[in-house]
Amino acid sequence: MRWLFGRRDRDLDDEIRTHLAMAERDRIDRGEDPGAARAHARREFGNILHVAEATRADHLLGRLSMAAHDLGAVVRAGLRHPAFFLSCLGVLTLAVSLNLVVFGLVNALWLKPMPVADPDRVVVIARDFEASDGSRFSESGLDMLRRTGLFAGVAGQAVTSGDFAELRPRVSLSAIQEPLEAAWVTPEFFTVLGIRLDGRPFTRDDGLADLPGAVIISDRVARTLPGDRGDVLGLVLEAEPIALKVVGIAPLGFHGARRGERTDLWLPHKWLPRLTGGDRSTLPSAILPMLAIGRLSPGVSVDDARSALTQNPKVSRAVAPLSEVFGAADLPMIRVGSVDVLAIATLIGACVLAGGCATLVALILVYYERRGREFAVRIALGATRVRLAMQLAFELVVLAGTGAAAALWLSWLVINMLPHVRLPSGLDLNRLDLTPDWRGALAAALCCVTSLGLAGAVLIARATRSRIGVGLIAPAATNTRSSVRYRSALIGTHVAITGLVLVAAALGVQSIVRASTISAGFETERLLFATVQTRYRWRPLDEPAREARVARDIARGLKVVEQIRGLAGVRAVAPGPAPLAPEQQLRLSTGPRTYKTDGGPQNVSFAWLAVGDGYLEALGASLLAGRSGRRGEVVITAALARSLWPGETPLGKPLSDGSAPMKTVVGVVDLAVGSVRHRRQPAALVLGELTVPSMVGGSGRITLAINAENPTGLKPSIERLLSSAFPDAPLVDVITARGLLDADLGQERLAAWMFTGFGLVALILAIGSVFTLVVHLVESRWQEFAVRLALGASKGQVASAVVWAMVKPALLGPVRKQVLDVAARRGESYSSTRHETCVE
Amino acid sequence: MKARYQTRIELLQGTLDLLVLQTLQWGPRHGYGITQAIRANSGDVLQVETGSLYPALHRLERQGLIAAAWKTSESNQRVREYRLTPRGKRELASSRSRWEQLQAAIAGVLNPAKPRA
Repeated sequence: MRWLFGRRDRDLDDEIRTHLAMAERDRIDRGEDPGAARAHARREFGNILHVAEATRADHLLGRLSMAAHDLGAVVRAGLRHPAFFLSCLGVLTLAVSLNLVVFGLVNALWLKPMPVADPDRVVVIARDFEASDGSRFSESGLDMLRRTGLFAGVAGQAVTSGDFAELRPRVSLSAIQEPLEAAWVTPEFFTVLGIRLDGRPFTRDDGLADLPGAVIISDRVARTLPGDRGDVLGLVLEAEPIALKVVGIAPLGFHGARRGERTDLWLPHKWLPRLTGGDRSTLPSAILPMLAIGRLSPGVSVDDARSALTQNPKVSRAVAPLSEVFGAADLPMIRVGSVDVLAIATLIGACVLAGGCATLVALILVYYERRGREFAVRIALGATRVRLAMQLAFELVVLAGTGAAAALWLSWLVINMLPHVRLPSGLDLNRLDLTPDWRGALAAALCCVTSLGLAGAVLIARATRSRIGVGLIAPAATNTRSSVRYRSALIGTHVAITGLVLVAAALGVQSIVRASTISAGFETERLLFATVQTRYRWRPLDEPAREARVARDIARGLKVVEQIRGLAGVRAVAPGPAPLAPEQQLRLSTGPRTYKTDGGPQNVSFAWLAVGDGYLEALGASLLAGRSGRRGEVVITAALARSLWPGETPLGKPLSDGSAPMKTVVGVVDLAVGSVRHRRQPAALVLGELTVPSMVGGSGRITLAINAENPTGLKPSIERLLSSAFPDAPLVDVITARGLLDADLGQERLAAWMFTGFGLVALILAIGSVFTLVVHLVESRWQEFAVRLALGASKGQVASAVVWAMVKPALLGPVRKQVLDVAARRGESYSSTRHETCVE
Repeated sequence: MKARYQTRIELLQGTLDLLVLQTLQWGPRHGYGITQAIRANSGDVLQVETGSLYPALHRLERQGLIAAAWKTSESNQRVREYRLTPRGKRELASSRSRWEQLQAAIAGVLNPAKPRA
């Protein structure tokens, strides 16, 4: 900037210099002594600096020139005090970018508007959002929902994740090379969502018509096809396995009903048998597993629908607004809407920001107090208080601008890295729209300006002419009563805020620790669970081919079990599913069913699990009573024992799931079933019912519990054995019990990570602030300590005075913290509720 | 103190520009020359503050009423000399007329004509 305004400034300086020289010569010519002439000329002229500033300030270029001067002064000050400026920038960047990243996540998960009409009226109906396939409904289930009168319309989308991955449409267009995501939907899909298509939605006839099949394409696909949108409508696309005719184009921004979806093609669900390659005559679309999406009838709220459906266990249990549901074609559905987590995250984020503000105020206070003498000299030289205040404000604005830019850059960097991070909740951030919007930039700028404005306002209010003037005679670090009180209040507040955030962080860490030590009732460090889907369930085979296939797979299954038993370190292998799994959770959440006991039929909700011989031994489950049982006998969990026979021994009691013959309860086991996130749940394990032939002959799925010395080390070997035994299996999965627990506690751990991150940032800010202030506080009393020593105080007395000066303000913090702790109660109760459910 | 400062500003407001323009009517001058001319012609009554003069000179230059150029003085010193522009001359005439009207009006108030008997 100097080059731009330098000539004008130099001209003015020359002009003033000439003026003074002429006045001086005039006086000498009139007979004055040269020394006196110079002094008089100077005095007559007045304050040179003031005249120059007044002249410059009178025009725009001059103002810009002054701004350039001020900027130069800021840069010079930054070079002279790099620690101060870097600390301020670091604090701003850290506090603001952390909040921006959290805001970005919250925005993507909860706040970004859904691209559907009136999204608050659209809900997802599920049996249980915690079970991966818990949302499935058949077509008749959808009809039942329609008949409730709660919904103006109900649409379905086929579930193609988890166990139903084989149902995923595998369609490729010759015009587009990259892989495409497709979804099966019912004809009402776009109408229920209120999506305005170019073209038309599906009709009932679309699934019945002959080839080519009808398809609705996304805006992205439409743009890659030749011609404008009008040309694309009606176009027959060359596709595999069948040709597709475009009947509609989705609007820009619509990629599917749920957050996380990236659908390019929507197909009528009636086409599913043709495109999955099965025998369409044996796969009626009526039994397809569907995700139910409903638009509420006028006057019906989400709560109304929820309570009405809860009364009808045959239909459903859970209703969630569409905006709270995350899912995709290849990902399980997760309900991400949780007001508690959102409120706590926002509260802690605000606390961290407040801590950042306090740190900034502390740094700025110390910095400008150290510059007190400089300000005093400038005031003495004629600078006005307004001018000093303006320069101070300018410095802070430059700092705020740089801080906001750095915070935006850092948050952009982190947000770009987030999609590569797989969060423990199973939430794939790559599927979220994390693009920052103007609100983020505005929030960053506002945060920075507010923080520094607050700091600057306090300083400017304190910077009276008399107070600045003291800087000429007092040491650089002033120690007036008000400034000491101010600093102490600042330290106390900061300690309080940090304490609050650390409490939240500690609760997070505590939940991690508890989760890692929680007892699931089986040997978590020694177990693996293997699953092999030996054949596609949705591609039924003709009877002779099926029998041959089953016989072959049974032989392979028995062989691979023996091979696993023969691996070094394997102690036991037994048929049976993992006790912590969505399937078990689903069984528990489908509502109470009638079970028969000696006391007659009872309506109790519990899981009825068929397991193989030696299953409990393989799990290392601890028996509370009785024995582990043999084929045809039942072992129940303690929760079920309490539920069915309170105050009695369940041993020897008969039990049936309502269809099978009565079986005898021979043992009670302490085992978590479904999820450890809930209280110990009631379950009955029917021993010896599961064998390799029964599994292969039934669903085609083999599940094994494997007890081994080193589960993590054995995992690849077992995967290799299973893959080579069943090379065409649609699913081979081996997971350690530790991995199972990690997945089960994913949501808690996500919150724990977040809170711990907040706590660390708050701690860094607090250390910076408190250290700066305490050192400054002690330094400002250095002279007093020296006088005390000179007056005969011992070193110990002075040392204790120094320590007290450092500790006293920080001790005020916990007192204030008591007040702020009230605000944390809610968060604590939320977290402790979660812990309680974990340890129960 | 503050009140006195404000009174001085109010007195100079507008009149300083007139005084500068009138001084330059007699010929180009540098800043110091202008203060000396005003002082001499007012019989040492009017003493222009440099803190007001230079902002006024730069403002008038920006308004196109005066023009400035660097010259070498008789004493071989580089000086910034101001001269009246044609627009400045018109403004001076207009300002003088307004000033004379004001002066006559104030004089009329201060020395009212005695009513004829």
